Amino acid sequence: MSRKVVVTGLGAVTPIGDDVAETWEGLVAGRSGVRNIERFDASGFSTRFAAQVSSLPSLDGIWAQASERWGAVDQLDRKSRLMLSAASEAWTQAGGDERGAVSLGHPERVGICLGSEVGRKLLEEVAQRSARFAGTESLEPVIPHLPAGEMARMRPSHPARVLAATLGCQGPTRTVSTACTSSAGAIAEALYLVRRGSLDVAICGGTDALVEGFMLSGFSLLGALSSRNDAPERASRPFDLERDGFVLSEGAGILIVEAEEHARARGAVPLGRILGAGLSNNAYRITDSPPDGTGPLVSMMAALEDARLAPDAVDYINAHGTSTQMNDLSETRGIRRALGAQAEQVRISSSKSMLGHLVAACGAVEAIACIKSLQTGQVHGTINLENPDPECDLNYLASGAEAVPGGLGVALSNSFGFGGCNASLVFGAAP
Amino acid sequence: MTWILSTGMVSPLGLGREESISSWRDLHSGTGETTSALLPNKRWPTEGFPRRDAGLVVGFNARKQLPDRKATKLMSRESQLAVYAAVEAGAGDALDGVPAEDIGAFATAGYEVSSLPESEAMLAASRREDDPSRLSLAKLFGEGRDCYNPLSPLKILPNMPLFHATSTLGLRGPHLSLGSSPASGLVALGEASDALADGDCERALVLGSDCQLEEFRAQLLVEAQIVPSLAPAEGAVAMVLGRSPTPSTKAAACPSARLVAWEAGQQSRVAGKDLPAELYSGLIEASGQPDLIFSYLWGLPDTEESERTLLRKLGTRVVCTRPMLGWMGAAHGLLDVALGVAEIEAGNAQRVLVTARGVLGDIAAVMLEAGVPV
Repeated sequence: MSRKVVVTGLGAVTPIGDDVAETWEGLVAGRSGVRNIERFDASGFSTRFAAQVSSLPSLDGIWAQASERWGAVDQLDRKSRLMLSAASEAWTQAGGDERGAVSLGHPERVGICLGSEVGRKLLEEVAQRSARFAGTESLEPVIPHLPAGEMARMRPSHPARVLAATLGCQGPTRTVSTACTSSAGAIAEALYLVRRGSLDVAICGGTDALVEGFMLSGFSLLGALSSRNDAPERASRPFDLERDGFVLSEGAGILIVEAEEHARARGAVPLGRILGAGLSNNAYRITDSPPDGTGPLVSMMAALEDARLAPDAVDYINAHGTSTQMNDLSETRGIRRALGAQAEQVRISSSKSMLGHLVAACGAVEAIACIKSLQTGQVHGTINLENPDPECDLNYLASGAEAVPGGLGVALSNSFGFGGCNASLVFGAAP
Repeated sequence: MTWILSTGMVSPLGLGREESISSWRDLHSGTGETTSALLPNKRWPTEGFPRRDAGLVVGFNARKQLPDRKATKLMSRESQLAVYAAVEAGAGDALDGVPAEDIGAFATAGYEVSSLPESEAMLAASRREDDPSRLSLAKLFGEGRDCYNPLSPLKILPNMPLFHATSTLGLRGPHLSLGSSPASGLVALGEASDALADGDCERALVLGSDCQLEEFRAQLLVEAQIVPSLAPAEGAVAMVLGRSPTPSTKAAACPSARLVAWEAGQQSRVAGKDLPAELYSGLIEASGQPDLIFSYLWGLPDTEESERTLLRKLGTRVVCTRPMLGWMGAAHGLLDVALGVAEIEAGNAQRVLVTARGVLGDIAAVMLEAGVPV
């Protein structure tokens, strides 16, 4: 069985918007979500800024009940809470209601594919608790004082569990944990499950909440973060000669993906298509891509082959574009090799210039940006791209949105992650 | 049709496939001296901990037994175990003649917690001078940070076992790293089988790895009510799958194992639903009655009643490895599959059902079958 797959619902919570409309408006306007960290004292850090969701959007109905229930059961963590907000928006747009999975189909045919990583508050909480036992020889006394539900919250699969319980989904539930490619990998997984006929509807995407001390510290030590503390909003500058690292971020993106025939039968309005997905492995280094762009090349070619499209069919690329020296160079070379002569023509931009790096959620939010581009015929630019790196010599769009004459037919989204994972997704305009 | 071309494993049963299967036979037959692979746990002081035994991998020395000694410094314990199993599975001709881009990798792993000694030095350096009973966040990320291993964040990423295994073997095909759950090993196996069927890859490495033997994490198992019913354990299992047998599979005197069907689902809030029953009956309908079942059962009456009822109805021989070996978390489902493969190869079973259930309600089952390569 090979079915056509459409997107019928979108939801997002990002540092520049509480929903898809606000996020897209911010991307088109070139609005940065990066600012000084206020949630904790970051004065001891070499990087003191991040892209942050200022306040969590309110929830109602089953979503508010889920938030309350899980908060009581085992302390809903920030990434699960962000996910609930994005999921409620996507669910409503797709026509889902308070009855849960049954409102979109048979519960066994409604599944979940989420990109998520390990909960990251753990060490911070250990640190705080250890303070109570200062002077003791070991941390042994600390352990029994951990908060209830710690294990559940730490699991990457916790957000998927919360979502499955909220909606009563009985179809397969997948949590993909491949660092920065987690949510792109989860969308690929959703595509495969729906296309093969294992599911009629997949709730897919990703969530992450990285703005906390240990991740800031760890990534700083790795030299991966920008330290442009004097101008945070100018720190994320993919493909710019003066880029000096990525900016940590947080948020969630959710897509409701379903078989086209299923969507039509229930009268849903397709927002776009998922045409193909390609995954590859670098087998190179933990944090770097191969300089010649081989890993990205393989995932892009695999995605185009999966979509049965030639490279010249691509109208727009939403780049991984992290603003690190090596990623942007490797991606440029990978795109050039994958698209050949077309590489210099195709419009390319990076959402991370405004959103920062949402890690396990970036692929989903950037997929939403692709769908919005296909819907509106407009592509957003890359802010802070003021002095283009001569080695990043493709058609990278600088600040400001661009309307594409005649609209867009095909958009490609790239995600590349620590551990050498690469994922590329191909989206098409709504049928 | 998916053939299981090779397996590699490191577990409380032993180092490597041969030793593990041999130990398994002794344990399972009851002819050996012991009925459990559990040993006294000396990894941390267990006074006050509900279990003093554990499923330990004995005799494993990553620096001596893995191909790249230097790389072991970048690996968590579960990554090291994963590489050991992957190297064993990748030996022989299972991956021969297939371009690296055409070999996929499908993994599941637990989440490694930074060890307490590693955190301890950092915390000690982070106390406030005016009030040592409190931590200073500024110091935590100043002096404390200097004591912190910057590689820690990379070690705990769930896809690191996948990375280390694929980079050791040089695999560049499609990949999937699933979140930790005992059921996710079976899902990784099923996804690999589907990827082969779809032509996404020519061969697939499937990998499950976990290490529950860290003090902090073991305490979390108590919270999840896994301990004391089960002892914490560690291990890794790898398999290479293909659409057709390799020359060595064809030449082998014993029957080979094939994955013939798999199912997965989520136990959720729908009144009157018995998801395991539906999943298993679907598998049996598609492929026939099993003559051996590896069940996830481990002693929680509340959540296992449905499984017990089903097993009673089927009336088939049932094996439960968790009480014997301990809780290997994300690796356990694949360990049961590897043991099922061994039973098929030994001629002890024709069709084997393996079931797994995560504490988060995810359920998966696979059906293995004996096949004679043509």
